[in-house]
Amino acid sequence: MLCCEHIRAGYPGREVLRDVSLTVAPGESVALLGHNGSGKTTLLRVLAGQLAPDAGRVLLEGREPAALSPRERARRIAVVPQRAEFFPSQIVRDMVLLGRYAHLGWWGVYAAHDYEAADQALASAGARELAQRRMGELSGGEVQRVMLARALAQESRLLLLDELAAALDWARVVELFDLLEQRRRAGMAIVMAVHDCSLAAQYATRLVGLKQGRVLFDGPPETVFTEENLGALYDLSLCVFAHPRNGLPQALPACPHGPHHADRETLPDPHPLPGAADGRLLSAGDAPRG
Amino acid sequence: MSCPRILSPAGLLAGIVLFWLASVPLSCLGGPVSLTLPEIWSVFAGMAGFGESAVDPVARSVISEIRLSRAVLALLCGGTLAVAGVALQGVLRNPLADPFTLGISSGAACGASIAIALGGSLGLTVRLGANGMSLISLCALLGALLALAGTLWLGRGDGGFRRETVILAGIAMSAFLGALVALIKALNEESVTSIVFWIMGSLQGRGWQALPLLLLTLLPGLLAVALHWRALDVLALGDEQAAQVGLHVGRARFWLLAGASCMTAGCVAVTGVIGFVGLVVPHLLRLRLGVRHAPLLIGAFFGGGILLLWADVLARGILDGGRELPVGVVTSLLGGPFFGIMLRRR
Repeated sequence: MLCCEHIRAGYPGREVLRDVSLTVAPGESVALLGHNGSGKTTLLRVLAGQLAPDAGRVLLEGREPAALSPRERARRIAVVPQRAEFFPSQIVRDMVLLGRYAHLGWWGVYAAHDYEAADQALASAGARELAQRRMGELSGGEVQRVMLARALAQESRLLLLDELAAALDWARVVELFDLLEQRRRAGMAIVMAVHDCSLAAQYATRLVGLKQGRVLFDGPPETVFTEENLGALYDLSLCVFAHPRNGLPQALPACPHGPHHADRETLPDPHPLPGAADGRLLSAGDAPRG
Repeated sequence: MSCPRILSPAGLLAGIVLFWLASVPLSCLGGPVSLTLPEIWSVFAGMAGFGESAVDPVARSVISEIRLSRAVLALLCGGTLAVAGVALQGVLRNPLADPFTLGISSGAACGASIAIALGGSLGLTVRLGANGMSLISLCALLGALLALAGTLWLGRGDGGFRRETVILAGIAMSAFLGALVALIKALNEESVTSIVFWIMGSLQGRGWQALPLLLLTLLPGLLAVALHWRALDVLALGDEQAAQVGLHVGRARFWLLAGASCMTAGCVAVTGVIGFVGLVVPHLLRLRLGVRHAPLLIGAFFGGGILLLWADVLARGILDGGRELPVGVVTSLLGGPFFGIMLRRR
């Protein structure tokens, strides 16, 4: 569905992506991992056709997104932005209806099926009860749900999400990622930039680690979610362990220095990194890996 | 700002349209020749082909040649300025934008000043009567369109029309052309009064002959805005998100800027610079109609027309002896304090 080969891209005077290749098939959910400035958002902009690569090529169903008209592109690719811009007095349903813009005719008038698509998207995003509220009255999590509803109203086959979980509480995060999983099962392809790598391991079918504009690892969580890979990705010592309920890998920083760590026993770090503090903390009841 | 919630947005729009229609005969009542509503109706019926009017020929002439043409021009120009204000505030995402943000008024003033000064030097007719009017108006229109072209050329960067660049280009163009007008006034002192009077804006002395020039710019401008009204809603999302939902941002911004400015240029060429209509009306309507541009544009066309028509009635009735105030002075005198009060209460 989506294929990019040897992408080099960036901004005037700053190259961000140096050599990135990626393929995404329908029904796949790909999480982009990496520290701030690693190129996740830039890669999403390239995939969305909003930033032309300096080298390499992107193909979406055989065509380059940047060569498509904005209208054609919006019918194929929906984007949930990191930060939303809106008038505080704008009604939520009107905001979601703007996702139908690419489907409108010359006079820009909504038809009955546009309203149906918007209402369906609101329901899918768990935001039906917000439909008549004003955007300025919503919490951060509610705004994110409305942005997701607007993207779903576009009825595209590829969904790009930039830090959807930022500023959301756990309940909202789980709710939104459960919803994304439903869309993935329905055949939608999803590419998302995520900071919480444990969350990514729970929900993504593939993890792609980006570091300094290059792909450090690319594969299913069971294969690539290792202390070595994540340590190299974040330049941080990490513990990887199995989720007690589903067995999927999870990660936590190995060497936090909070107020409760001073009196606790530490174990040597099996994967010391340059500049990382020595040793790992061990809490009562923990089973050290190694 | 608290706003009375007596009418729904649709009810308010209907009320504005009804008052717009009622304003046409009502505005014809006032003036040196006293007329009654039945006389006015009778003349209107005669003009529409519903039988011969039994009204005095003088009254018929006053209504059909002077007051009705003036009312029609006021309604069209006021509506045009307010629609252009809504479009420019939306496309530039700047609440301070008005129809003159892109240097249109300075361009028109410069063109008119050149016509007035050259007309005086070459002995051409430059009085604000029937013959001089068309020369000044044509030069003003040319000046306004050249200023618009210059602003769009200056404001166009590699990534298309960025709103900050367009606004800065408009400011630069206004400053340059304003200086040119000052230079013309300094070099040609006998034309100063005419130039100042023209710049203040007035509907006096314009008649049906001004209508073709106005329609020539109003209709294509209105069509360009009408075809992109939904784009105004989408542009509120910011350029990047607007593109993500399918809008060709650069193209939409160009047509909206060009359309709004084109109709403003025709309006300024006919009436001179009439301030505050394009700024106040959109803000007033937004308080009750919200941020959706379809009802805003419709309400602005009718509301702007009503404001300018009644400001003109005031301008020609406030002084005795048949003297008139420039309507631009009335709109600014009323609009300035009103806008200030509105901002304080908000």
